[in-house]
Formats: sequence, C-alpha cells, structure tokens
Amino acid sequence: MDKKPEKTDMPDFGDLASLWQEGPAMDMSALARRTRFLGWRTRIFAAFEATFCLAMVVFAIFALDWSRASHQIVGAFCILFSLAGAWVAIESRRGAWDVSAGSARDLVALQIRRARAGIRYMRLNVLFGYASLLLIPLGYWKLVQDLGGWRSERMIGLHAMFLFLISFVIGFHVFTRYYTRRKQAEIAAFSKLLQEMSDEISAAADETADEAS
Amino acid sequence: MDLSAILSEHGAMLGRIVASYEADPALQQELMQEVSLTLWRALPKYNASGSLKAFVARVAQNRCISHVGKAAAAPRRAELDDEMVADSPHPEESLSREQQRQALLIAVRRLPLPLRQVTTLALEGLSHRDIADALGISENNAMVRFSRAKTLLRDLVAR
Repeated sequence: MDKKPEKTDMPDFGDLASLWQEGPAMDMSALARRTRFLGWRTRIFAAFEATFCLAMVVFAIFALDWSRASHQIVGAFCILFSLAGAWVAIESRRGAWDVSAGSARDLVALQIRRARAGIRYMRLNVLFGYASLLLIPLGYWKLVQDLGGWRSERMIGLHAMFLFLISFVIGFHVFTRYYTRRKQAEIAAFSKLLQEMSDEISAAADETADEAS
Repeated sequence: MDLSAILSEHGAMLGRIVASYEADPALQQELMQEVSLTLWRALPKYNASGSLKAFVARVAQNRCISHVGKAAAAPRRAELDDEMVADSPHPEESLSREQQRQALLIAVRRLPLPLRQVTTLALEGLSHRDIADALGISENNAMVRFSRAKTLLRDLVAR
C-alpha cells in the first residue's frame, strides 16, 4: 500500500479528515435514476433531430412534382438543406457523449475546444437560418404558380408564415450574439484557469528540483 | 459496472468534492447531477486494475474544474450561504462540529485550484500515489502540492 499523506507536519490533519468526511448524505438511488434519464434524453434528442431532417428529405422526394422546374429547385434546396441539417445534428455532438478521464489540464483544454465548437455550431445555425430565407422567393415562385396569384386567400397564411420565419431567423441571430459573448467569457475563464494550473505545475516542479539539489 | 452501487459506495465522497467547489446548495445539486452523469459515461473507460475510488475522484475533480471555469464566466444565481447548519438530535455538540466542518470547507474553497484538488483527495484518505493518478500528475508533484496545501490550509483554518 502506498504511503498516506503525512500527518507529522500538521498533527490535526487526521482530525480534519474525520471532520471532512462527516459530509451530508444524499439520495444516491434517485441520483442514479436521474443520471440515466439525462443520458438517454441526450441520445433521444440527437436521434430526433437527425430523423426529423431525414424525414424532410423523404417528404421533399415524395411530396413534390418533380416534372416542374419550380418544384425541382425547391425540392433540391430542401433535400440539400435537410441533409446538411442531419449532418450538423450528428457532427455537433461528436464526442459529446465521451468524457475525458485524463488530467485536469487536458479537460480544461477540452472545455475550451468545446466552447469554441459551440460558437461555431451557433454561427453555422445562423448561416443555415439565413440560407433558409432563400425558401421565401423560391416558395413564392412555386406557390404563385400553384395558387394563381399573390392575392389568393390561401396565400395569407403563407405570408404570415414567411414573416414568422424572417422574425425567427433574426431573433436567433440576436440570441447567438448573446450566446457567443457568454461562451467567449467562458473561454477566457478556462484559459485563465489553464494558466493558473500551468503556473502551479511549474512552481511544484521547481520546488521538486530544489529539494533534489 | 453498476452506477447505483458506485454512487452508494462513493457518493458521500463525491458530495464532499462537489461542496468544495460550489458553495450554492442549488448549484451543488446540479453539479452533483453532472458529476454522476459524467461518471456514468466514463465508467466504460475504467481499468479494473486501478483504484476505483481514485478513478471516481478523478472524474469528479475534472467535472468540478469544468464547473469552476463556467461559474467564473456566469453570474451567480443565488447568494452563497456558508453558515448552513444541519438538523441533529444533539444540537449544541452537532452545531459546534458542523461549524468546524463549515470552517474547514470554507478554507478548502479558498485554496488555489491545484492545491484544492490535492487537499480534497488527501482529506478523503487517498494516498499520494492515488492522488497523483487521480490528477494525472507525478507522485512527487502531488507530494509537493500537498505540502504547500497543508501550510496554506493551516493558515486559512486558523483565521
């Protein structure tokens, strides 16, 4: 058995350890149940997003009349957009289910990389949002052909839907700016932490070298 | 490997490690949840030849460090209450003991992060070797850090 931390320099360290170990109890079985629930919820969310995107591809293939030019363009856009969405849903979570059991410094560095990846993911979503606005002229092109004009009664709901889409994309862009600032603050805090840990390791190494000499 | 069994055996240690990184009780609950989730995901990586306690401690320490980084970047959601007292059948004796425990906890929280890591594990009774394994540092480094931590802890507890 390896040697235990010394008690000679500070005689009361054993007492401190006893005192320390009198921590409050917790409901561990409830915690374990909740933990499993959260793990599976993450997987289900990812699967749902990817499945939804693939369902959109299938919908585009079967719901559109591929003999017409407007349908071909809208359909091709929908398929590419949905496939890209499915790829982002999976790719953005790559490694998220793993965990670094390595050193604390590696983990902090990993957290920095994840925060940067989070920013990239959100910015990519903003781009996707603006790309989705391309659906508006394409949609009008197709729908005006189908419904017979801009002022058709059936177009009123579509005007509202497109307005909502524009508002949502702009709102998401505003939220992304807030999210990015928060993540950048997180990256700064982690970088500071990493520096603090590096300094401490250097200091400990210097002390070890001094003791050896 | 069964998470429930591991939490039953090492849950108290996890709770104390979490408490040494987060003072807000509500955030402690959240952090404990996150530590458990991280542990659940990390269990397949556990090498049965190593100490399970050190492995569990390492996962908890690493997750808590992530929390420290995020908490530093986020505003506090609640005032810290470092003077909480537990209910007990022997109020005076327990109150004194609880106050000592709280004083120790506050002192540990004030240690710089690298020293806090070593101190919490030493207080849990881990050997220098296990502390080194848990933190991914050399045994020598763990001993030096522990020596520095004890000196600083003594000063902080005495205040």
